[in-house]
Amino acid sequence: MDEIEKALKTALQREPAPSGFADQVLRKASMRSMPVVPPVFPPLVPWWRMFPVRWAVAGVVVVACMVGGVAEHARQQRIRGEQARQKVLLALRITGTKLRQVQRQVVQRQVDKSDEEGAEPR
Amino acid sequence: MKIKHAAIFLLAIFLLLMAFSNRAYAQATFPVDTTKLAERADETTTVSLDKNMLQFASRFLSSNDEDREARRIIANLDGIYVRTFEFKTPNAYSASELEAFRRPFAGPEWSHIVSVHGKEPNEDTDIYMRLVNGEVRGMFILAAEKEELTFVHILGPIKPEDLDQLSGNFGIPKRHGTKQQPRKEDEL
Repeated sequence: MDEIEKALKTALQREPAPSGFADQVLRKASMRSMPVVPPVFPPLVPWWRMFPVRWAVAGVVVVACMVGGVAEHARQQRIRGEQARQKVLLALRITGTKLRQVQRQVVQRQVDKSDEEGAEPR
Repeated sequence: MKIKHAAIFLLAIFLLLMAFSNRAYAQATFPVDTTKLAERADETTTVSLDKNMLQFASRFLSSNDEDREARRIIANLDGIYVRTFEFKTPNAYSASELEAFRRPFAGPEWSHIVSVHGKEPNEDTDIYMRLVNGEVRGMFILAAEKEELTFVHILGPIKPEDLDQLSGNFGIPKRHGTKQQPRKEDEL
C-alpha cells in the first residue's frame, strides 16, 4: 500500500507550467478566431437619427413657430383694431348726438321766440 | 456710498418728472378734471383716442357709408376724448361744479360759440371752439342733463357740421359696463 501511495503522490504532485506556455495558448487561440465576414446590408439607422432629417425637423418646427407667432400677432392686431374702431364710432356717435341736441334746442328756442313775438300784437 | 445716494436721487427726480409729464399730458388731452364726478357717477363711459390710435382704428374701418364717413372725419384729427357720466339721482352735480368745468375755456384761445340753457336747471349745453389763425383746431362740448353729464374734447381741425351728419347713424352699443338707454333724439 505504501508503494502504491508513493506512486500516486509522485504522479499527482503539482508541477509548474513550462515557461512560455501562456503565450503559446494565447497565440493559438488567436489563430483559431473566426474571420470577420463583411455584412451584406449596412447597419440600419433610425430615420429620426439621420442627419438631414434632424435638420429638416428642426427647420419645420422653427418655421411653424414663426408662422404661429405671426398669425397670433395678426389676430391680436385685428382684435385691437376692431376695439379701436368701435371706440371711434362710439365717440363720434356721442359727439354727433350732443351736437344735434344743441341744434334742436337752438331751433326750439327760435320757435318759442317767434311764437312769443307773434302772440304779442294780440 | 455717495454714488448710490446720487443714483437714488436721480431716480427720484426721474420718477417725479415722469409723474408731472403724465399729469401734463393728461391735462393737455382732457382739459377738465372729472375724477370726482367719476367717483359719484353710477355709470361712466370713457373714450380716449390719440392720433396714433385714430390712425390705427382707421385701418379697420370698413367700406360702408358710416365707416367711410368716420374715416374722413378722423383723418386729420389729433385726438378724440369723451367722458360720459350717468347718475341714478337727478342733479347729482351742482351749478358751481359746471362753472368750474367751464373755467378752462374762458381764455382767449377758446371761443364760446354756443351756449344753450334749458328751462330746467342742469340742462345746459356749451360748445367751445379753439381757433388758431382763424381755423378751428379743437372743440369742447359740455352737455349737462339732469342725470347725465357729457364732455367731448376733439383735438385737431374739425368742422361741426361733419359731426352733426353723423348723429343717429351709428347703431353702436355702449361700451361694457354702461347701460343702453334710448335717447330722445333716437326715438324721433
